[in-house]
Amino acid sequence: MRRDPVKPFLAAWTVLVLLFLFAPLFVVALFSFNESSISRFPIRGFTLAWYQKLFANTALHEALWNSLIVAIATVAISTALGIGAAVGIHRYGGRYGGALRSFSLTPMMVPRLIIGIALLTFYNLFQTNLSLLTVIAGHVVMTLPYVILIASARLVGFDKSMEEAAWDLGAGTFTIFREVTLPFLKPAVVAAALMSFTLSFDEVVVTFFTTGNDNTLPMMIWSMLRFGITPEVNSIATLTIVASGAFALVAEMSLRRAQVGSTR
Amino acid sequence: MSRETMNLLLPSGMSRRGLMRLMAASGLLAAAPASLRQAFAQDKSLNYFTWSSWGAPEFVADAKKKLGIDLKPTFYSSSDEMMAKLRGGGTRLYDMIVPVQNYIEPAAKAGLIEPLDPAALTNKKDIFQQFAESPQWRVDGKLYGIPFVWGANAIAYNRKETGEVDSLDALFDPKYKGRIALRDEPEDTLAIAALKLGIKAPYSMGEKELQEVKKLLISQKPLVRAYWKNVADVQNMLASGEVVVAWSFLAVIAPLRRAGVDVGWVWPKEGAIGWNESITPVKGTSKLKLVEEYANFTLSPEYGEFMARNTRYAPASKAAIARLEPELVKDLGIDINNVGRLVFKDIPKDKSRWNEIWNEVKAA
Amino acid sequence: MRPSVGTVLSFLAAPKLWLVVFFVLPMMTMVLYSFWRVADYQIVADFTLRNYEKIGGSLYVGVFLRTIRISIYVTVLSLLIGYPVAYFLARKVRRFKLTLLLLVILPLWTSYLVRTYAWMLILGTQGVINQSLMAVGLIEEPISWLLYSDFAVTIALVHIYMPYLILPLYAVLEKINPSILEAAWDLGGGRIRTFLSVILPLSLPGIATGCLFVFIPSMGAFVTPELLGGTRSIMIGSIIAQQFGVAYEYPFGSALALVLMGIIFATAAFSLRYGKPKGLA
Repeated sequence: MRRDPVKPFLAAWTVLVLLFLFAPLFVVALFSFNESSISRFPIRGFTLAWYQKLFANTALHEALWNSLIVAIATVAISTALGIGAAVGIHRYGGRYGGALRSFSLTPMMVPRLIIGIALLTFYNLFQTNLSLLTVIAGHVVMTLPYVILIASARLVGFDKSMEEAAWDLGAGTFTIFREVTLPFLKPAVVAAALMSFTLSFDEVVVTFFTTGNDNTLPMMIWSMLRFGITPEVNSIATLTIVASGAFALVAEMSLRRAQVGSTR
Repeated sequence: MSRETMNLLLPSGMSRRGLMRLMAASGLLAAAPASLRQAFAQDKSLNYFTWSSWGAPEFVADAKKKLGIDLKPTFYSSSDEMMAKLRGGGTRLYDMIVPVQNYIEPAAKAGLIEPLDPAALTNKKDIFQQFAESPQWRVDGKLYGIPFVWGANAIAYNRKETGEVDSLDALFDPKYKGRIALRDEPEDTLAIAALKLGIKAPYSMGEKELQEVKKLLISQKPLVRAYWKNVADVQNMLASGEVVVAWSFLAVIAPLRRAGVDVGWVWPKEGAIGWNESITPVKGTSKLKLVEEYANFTLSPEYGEFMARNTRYAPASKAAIARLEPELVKDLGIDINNVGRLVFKDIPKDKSRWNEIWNEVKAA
Repeated sequence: MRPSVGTVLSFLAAPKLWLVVFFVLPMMTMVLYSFWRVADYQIVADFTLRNYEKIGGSLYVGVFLRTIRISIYVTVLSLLIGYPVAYFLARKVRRFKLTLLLLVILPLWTSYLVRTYAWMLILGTQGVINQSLMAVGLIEEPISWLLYSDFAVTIALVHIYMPYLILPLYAVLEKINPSILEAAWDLGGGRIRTFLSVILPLSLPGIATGCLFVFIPSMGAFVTPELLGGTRSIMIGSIIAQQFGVAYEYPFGSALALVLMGIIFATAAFSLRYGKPKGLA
């Protein structure tokens, strides 16, 4: 291989950018141990009190629970619908395939703020009771395009002759879907589920305009920040960083294992 | 995003059956909260749409202990936000709110609130007369609330940096360039600019006066560090030394002093913006009796004392104030003899024009 | 394969129906509202163009222009900062590729509200940057334009949305066939020429998608500018959110939102034409 004089510069640049991306997270983690209730430099004293408060805060537990309900329901619905849509477009789209896909992807082109207010006007017009269900409907709109995009990308590499062979052996459409197409799509399903979960779990704008009396975790964080309860918010954020870091690590390790196991 | 990108994010090993089970379970869970709410409709809980101060955990615990009522608080940070949420479907969600006096008429006319039975409010006898009998709480002869708390939005200042402050001039003083904060709320900010210009009745300003106010605020912009939206923001700005003089809520003072910042609080001599607040039932609540019970409780000397000790807000109950030591009363930042200095918030003649003027100031 | 009509419908119709009910109909409701008006605290359904006329006034045109300007800053900055990173990850590392990519994505899993607040602690008068600069004696007075300025808003938005640009760019760069690059080398193209005439054009689809992923949410941003922008950084998202969350001016807010959508769709159409990315066609 040629020696590459550009590589060290690119590497240094990447390190700098990662520092930039992580700097706010370090600051947040630092202040989560700060004794003073007001976040300002210099830091005085070390405490775990904010974490203790966090575990005692039942409203927060309820919000976390609501967030999980919304995220899991969103994942379930948007993965099921999105995979179906991608397969449907791939199989039966024909010359309308492009148009159908474009239509499915338009919500990506719309800022969250507008998805939220459009739903609000819609619910308002029909006097709908706002609840977690109305939130989930919005989150699915927001995540569905990503699922379709991911699944469609995977289907590009799909060998249609597999389905045709199954058809010739007398399998029905849904059997083929279950036994042939879905297994092939598995990585895309997991990726799409992960993506939807992340998007839904952190969403605050769509939720703000569509929720009734049920707070989700980001909504709770939002109101805590607005009313000056920052140290506890710092601890929530720190826990999220640690949890997602651990999650990413596990994901990476299992992927490594899978790669080692597969022969290319 | 391509498949390659996404595949990098995958953990392997999630089974199809596991995924299906997850989907089924989450469908059930999503439907649960709505049906649970109905099942509990007859219990002693109140959905309480309120300012953060009145829904703090200690107040929730107090209501549970003294009345056996479960308060379920949700917060707003401005009166307009309260109105917008109520109109956007909130009347079906909440049992009671804590409006400021000037929103009673619009809320009643828009059919968002429900009157109270005066006979249920036995603690009214202890409330200062100017609040208990205020016409702002009555629409078409019906009573929509008796205030339990009152106060003023006024000036908070960093004593070490500014010395004593007694006038609105401090907010317009080039000496404090870049260290002044105002509230991002036309009802407060246009009104104090009007007071600074010597306009005595800010809420009935005409277009000519509004233009003068706008000019003054635009000329002041270079001096201002930021317009704050939430009370936490102004508190942080004062704590971090970002600003030294700010138009503020009283709520910032106690935490700042606890954190060792020497902040002063003053009703400027040109006037401060007065407010009072009451428990008011939301239209169509199925728990009117319970709301009335809680409303009466907030007028009691016990509640007033508890509130003053916890939040430093001033009770509207004479009996509550009588229970407090003089030192604490001084800390409440009120002066019942100087109520004349307050301009009580009212509905501007043309509200959307006020909003527009304020947007023009911000965009200038 | 000849599937029955029922099968086709069940695959295609359910997802489309969801989008029609919870996306298309709401957008149409907004169009409808934008021609209505508010009187006496109630929305009145009679046809008026007043809302659109109001937007033509200098106030709102000005705010739209500054929103576009800031969004362009954010997009260009994200591209300049993010491109080398995507390039490095896609073509220069092998062993730690996955780890590095995960590190780019990891910050996205922390609430962006919290990250916005963290910038206050970093950029403030007594924040990390000012205190460090003063400690080493580079400055004597804190730099005040770091926070409550366009600068603060731009930096925070770059921080929040840049990872969304790096991902698609990375995907496209990684797919470029090494043999094409070899060929360019063999034809005597230098490093810079190879980059400009081969890599850059081939990565255009990634650039277009990535830039849209930054530009679109920046155009709709309202929390970040409100918190970090000080007195001068009002963006159109704030005004739109104000009409719904505060003022109960749904009709006017709808009109503003539709104009914003118009600008976004025009931009998207333009950039997708000049860099036709796969999957978004």
